[in-house]
Amino acid sequence: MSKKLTVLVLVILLLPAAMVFSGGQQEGEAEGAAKLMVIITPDKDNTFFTAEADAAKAMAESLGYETLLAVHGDDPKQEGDLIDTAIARKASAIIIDIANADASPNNLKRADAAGIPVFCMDREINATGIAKAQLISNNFQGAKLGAEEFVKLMGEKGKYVELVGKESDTNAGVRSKGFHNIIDQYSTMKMAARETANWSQTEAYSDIESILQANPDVNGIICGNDTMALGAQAAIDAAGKGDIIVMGFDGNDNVLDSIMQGKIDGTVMQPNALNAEMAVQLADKYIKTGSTGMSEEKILNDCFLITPANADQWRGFKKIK
Amino acid sequence: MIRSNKSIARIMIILVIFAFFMGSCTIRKISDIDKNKKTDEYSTWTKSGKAFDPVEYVDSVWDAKLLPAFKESAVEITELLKALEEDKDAASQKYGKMKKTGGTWIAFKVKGEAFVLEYDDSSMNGKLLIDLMPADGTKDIVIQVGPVIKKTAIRDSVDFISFTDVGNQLQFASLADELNLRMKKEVIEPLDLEQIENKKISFYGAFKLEEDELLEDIVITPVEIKVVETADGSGG
Repeated sequence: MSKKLTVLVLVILLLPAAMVFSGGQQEGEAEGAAKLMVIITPDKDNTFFTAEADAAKAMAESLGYETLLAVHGDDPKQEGDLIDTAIARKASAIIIDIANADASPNNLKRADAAGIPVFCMDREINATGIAKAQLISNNFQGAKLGAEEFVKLMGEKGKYVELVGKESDTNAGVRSKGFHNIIDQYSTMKMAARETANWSQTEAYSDIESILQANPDVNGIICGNDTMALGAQAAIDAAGKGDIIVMGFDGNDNVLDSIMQGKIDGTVMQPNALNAEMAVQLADKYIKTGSTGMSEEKILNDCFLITPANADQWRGFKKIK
Repeated sequence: MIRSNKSIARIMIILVIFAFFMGSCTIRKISDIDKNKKTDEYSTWTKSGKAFDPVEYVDSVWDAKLLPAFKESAVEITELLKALEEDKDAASQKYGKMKKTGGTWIAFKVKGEAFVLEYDDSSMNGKLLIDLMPADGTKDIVIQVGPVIKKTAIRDSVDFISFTDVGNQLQFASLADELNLRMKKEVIEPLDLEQIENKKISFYGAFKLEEDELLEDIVITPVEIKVVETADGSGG
């Protein structure tokens, strides 16, 4: 609570200052000063989110924009404060990976009403007509892709464990649904355990440690994201059961390394950098022409399967070869 | 956020019980989503959003739009394979439906005639290994016949289906699943797969070529399979 209070107090204190600056900026704009893109992402600790923030920043700056980066911590209230800051700063566009598919639209509507176009990247909002474009990572399709490979590696049979992400994150549920959409078609695949490890590597480690003690004959572990997959892999290595199949999701560099080392068996690469860059490019087009030029608001970008065969072709969520 | 959802749910339950006991009130649905809950679990992925009924949608398009689209513009498979081998990009432009943004797959609608060399049911993703006309006894390509159907080739190969019109990514996926289910009912169920080896078939179908995929990896999802005759020329 005190952290949120601090942020709120800071924002309130900064607002007048921001208005002074933006006032100056308005005059500056008339003289051709750089326009501002505000880039809002979930957090600073997960490389998935820092990668998309960096990709958006780099693309914006290459197009001549100034940038302001901020994180909402998956809290719609904090996200709302950041939107208000962007409005006060008279941003030319907001590039955002939203906090929550239900709560965030209200925040975005405020920006839209203030005349600031909003461009969503990665996470989808279940509404159209608020953002000018949504560059969506197809989590459901990606989860099905990973599950198909997982089933294949397990020879379509055996006992498996599912590690689920943080419940409050919409994508945790989306990916789990995607996994089961595929796996449940195989009656010979039996789920030994399903637990949430809250996207945490250490939680995943201790979860798998205990699950293995109760279920020594587990053949595979499918994880809602890469950090949990790393924890699971470490746990099976420690237990001397490195041959258990482990499947991740995201495409983090350290999991690509693990795959290339023959440990984690696969992951699903999200088109992260692509979504971020496209969001900025469409924002730029909109700012300059009044339209994104796309026939649809929602652009669904598919995920890619990463296996030992192609793990070296990707880095920083981009295809390098 | 979660706490307020729970208290809203509690209040809702209390109101519903109250109305029920009052007797004179009709229970009004809070949103269309509740009404369609059975057929659209995916719109309840989030509380907002409109409902989408994949069964209703597929019923409305299967005969009226989907099959006609294949009959009208499917390309002969041997012609397509040859063109792809010669110049993948040109062939894709000419014959394929490309995804305009992001991902790098191309979807094709195809038709052809072939002998069925083998029905491979070693996996739940069962396959027919077929020898395209003119027959030379070697396997040319594969048609998947289930029970597990992979990928979303049918949905992605037709022009009239758009993601934005359908809804969110789960609803869009449910549409692909329903198309595959309908396909199994229309196309696979009437077939006697145990007896299909050595028979000649004519077919319409779709496949997607991912960026890194080779032509040998192609798997066709059928939308129509007709047994034409048996290998010895007698009527099927």
